Amino acid sequence: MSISWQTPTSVLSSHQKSNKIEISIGKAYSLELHNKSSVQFAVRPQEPGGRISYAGLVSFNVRQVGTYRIITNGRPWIDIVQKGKIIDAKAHQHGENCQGAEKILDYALSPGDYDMEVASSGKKKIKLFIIPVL
Amino acid sequence: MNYKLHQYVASVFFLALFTSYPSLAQHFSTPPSSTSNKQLKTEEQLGRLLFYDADLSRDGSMSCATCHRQKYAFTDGNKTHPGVNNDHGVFNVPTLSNVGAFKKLMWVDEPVHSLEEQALVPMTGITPVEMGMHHREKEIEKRIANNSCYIKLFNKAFPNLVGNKIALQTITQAIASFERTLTSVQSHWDIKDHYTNEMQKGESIFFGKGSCATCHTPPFFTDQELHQINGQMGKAYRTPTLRNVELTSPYFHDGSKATINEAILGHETKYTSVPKLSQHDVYYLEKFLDSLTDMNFVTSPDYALPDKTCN
Repeated sequence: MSISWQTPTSVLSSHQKSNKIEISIGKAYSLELHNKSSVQFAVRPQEPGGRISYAGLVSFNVRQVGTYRIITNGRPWIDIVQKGKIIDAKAHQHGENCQGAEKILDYALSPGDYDMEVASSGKKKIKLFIIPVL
Repeated sequence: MNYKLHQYVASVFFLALFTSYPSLAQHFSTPPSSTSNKQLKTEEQLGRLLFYDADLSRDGSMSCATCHRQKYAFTDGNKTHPGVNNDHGVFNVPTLSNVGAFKKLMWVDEPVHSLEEQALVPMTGITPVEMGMHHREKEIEKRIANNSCYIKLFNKAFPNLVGNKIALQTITQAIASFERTLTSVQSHWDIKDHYTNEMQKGESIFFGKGSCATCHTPPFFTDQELHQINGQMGKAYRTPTLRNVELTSPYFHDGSKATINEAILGHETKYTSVPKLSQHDVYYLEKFLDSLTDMNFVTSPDYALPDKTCN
């Protein structure tokens, strides 16, 4: 994994869809989340998480069609949303022994803008990385 | 069809099924006679909210539904599921299809005799840690008791209980009551709808030369007993139900078989009554197993994440 994963850029996630926080593909982030009760989701997460959990929203843009891998060092629930619809992951794996990458999700995405809803996180801060899968 | 009418039709249909398969109804346990229907409904409604509530886990990240997802017939599509500590799970998540009818609930023999007892295993168990509430039992009760919506529901569900109504015992009782509603008896095989010739050929093999029904005994396609079915397993594990098996991959106690085909071929003649089967036989068996999928079960709003959480 690149050095970027070890030195992530700090980002505060958004509380609501209207306040977009953009992240880039190929760059690692330390994403700060909010108390779940303060987050307004555009689409209800499939796993909303408990009242004591953390949540937040970010957006990203895909320029090329392909498979994109989302890696986190926590086990939050992640829903990728486009035009109000949740896109299911095409694969998921447990990445425990890979430099703290605990959860790995693959999505088939075409060019466009996407919202990422992070929910049900036990951690207030998570590392997050989106990379294209060759 | 509006929702209420749909529910009515579904319930009439369900009753009709029980009438045609009288042996099916007797498998489901009934509530104590002191519990009124209204109370039981409230208990089930409460149990559903708790089943989907991640505040039952240490860090609010896991509910029962995190591993038991409706669209996978209440399994999760993983070999095993890590807990809140990110420890590896030990066993593949079993389906909850008709779990209220089962007397034996674990992959191996353990002193767990009811759904109420079983609910404590993921919540407070330590081998492995799943929801991480070992020694935090009072914290569970405190979190639930801090919620006015839950207080109302517990009062309605347990009106005659003297003392603290929000206790681990009533929490697990409500979850178990919801789990008993998870009935799956409307598969293609049950209702003979879209029941193709290939499925029928597979049924003949399943109940005939394949000897599959010896252990995967209808109506729930399990004898609930322990069997070692190949040399790799090393010991015997509980026969899983085959209801909705198409949706519950991967298979076996450790999730080591990715497909139904691999799972069928994982039954060795040396250890089971299953003879050497041809590729055609296995193909038809797979078709028959697909016929045990109950789409109503995996799409019913009655079992889904409630529209609103209890707040």
